[in-house]
Amino acid sequence: MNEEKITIEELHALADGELTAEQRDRVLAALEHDPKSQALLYDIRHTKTLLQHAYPVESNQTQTRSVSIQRFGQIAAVLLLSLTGFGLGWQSAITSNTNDKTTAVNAVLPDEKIPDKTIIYLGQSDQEKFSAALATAQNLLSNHPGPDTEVYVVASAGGIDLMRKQTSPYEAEMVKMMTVNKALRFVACNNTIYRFRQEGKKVDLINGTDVAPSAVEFVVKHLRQGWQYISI
Amino acid sequence: MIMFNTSWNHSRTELITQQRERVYRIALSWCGDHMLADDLTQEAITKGVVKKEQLADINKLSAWMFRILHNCWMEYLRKYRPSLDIDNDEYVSDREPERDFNQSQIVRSVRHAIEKLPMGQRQVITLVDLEEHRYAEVAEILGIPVGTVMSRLNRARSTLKTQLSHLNEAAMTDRPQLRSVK
Repeated sequence: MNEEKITIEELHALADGELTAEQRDRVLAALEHDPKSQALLYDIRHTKTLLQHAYPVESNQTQTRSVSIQRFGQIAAVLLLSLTGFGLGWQSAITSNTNDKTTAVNAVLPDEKIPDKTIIYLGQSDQEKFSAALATAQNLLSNHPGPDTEVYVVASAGGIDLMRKQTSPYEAEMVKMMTVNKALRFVACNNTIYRFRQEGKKVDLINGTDVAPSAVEFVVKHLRQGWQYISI
Repeated sequence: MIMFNTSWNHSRTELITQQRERVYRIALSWCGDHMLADDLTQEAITKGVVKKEQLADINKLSAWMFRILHNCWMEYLRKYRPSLDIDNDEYVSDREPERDFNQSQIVRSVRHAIEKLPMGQRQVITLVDLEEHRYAEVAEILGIPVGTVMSRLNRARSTLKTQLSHLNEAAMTDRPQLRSVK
């Protein structure tokens, strides 16, 4: 008769496949004579099953229907940009430190990047970030005036306020930039537009703004193609 | 060699972006908010693509991606919930959770119970039970000792057992007797 006690840690480890073959055999043998441990193991496995049932892997379409109106953080590349100086006004920032910032951008991007094609991503409703995004776009266009240059300013979540007539402080400047620079596009996330309208917010986009079904998919698609990425 | 590197980097990009649905699921289980989960997922995937050259071993892609997601989540909490104690405090989303009335009672109950767990326990149990990561991998992802993984897992399962007892009781009527098979 096997009197060996089974610890709760061993039961967890058994359920999670953490035991060696030898340990597993020993615990299973002991379990045959231990109804209490059998019940505990059943509970562990049942909870595991419930969790998997409660959090199925959802399709992309389901996920991208919703985009938050709040966004946080910046990618490491952006931290290196030290863009805070742009907060004083994007027009003046265009003429200052242009080369330094471009160098910083290039220093942190993947090797296979296409240097003339850049996505600037904006996810927060923040006037300083708006001005930084515009200044960065203008810097890139000025520093890469070639025919292959393309700069997309992509906004989702709160960042879309830059492109809404109701909220953008830079409508006239953006229209002018698009007129002068055919390589510049402003792209708004349709999921966010949908979300805003669901929340009763009016969304009239500045003339010339494009709409992508999902900012997530749009950004990832262009990263795959080798575009540079800057998050503001 | 350049072409090889480029091809390898592109395949890494593909593999990283293919993680999106799994990253989203874990993000949702941590934050309990579809919109925030979507944001966290985008942030993590984008960071993964940008930093893909740091991924030395493709076999560790999943753990690497969840490590990035964990960092994004901690960054969010530091910014918006700086006083949150992830070992003890309950994290509640700022936003009114979206209610999908097509969800079953079981799904709602389980998600509610998960949302009542302290964040540290929530992270461990979801990585183990949903993603089936080894304890050592979870320790690496979260930057904690394996012993802490095990103790958090034990506490989380103990709490869930109580919280979900009504679901267990319904199912226990036909609980099978466990027998080892030789």
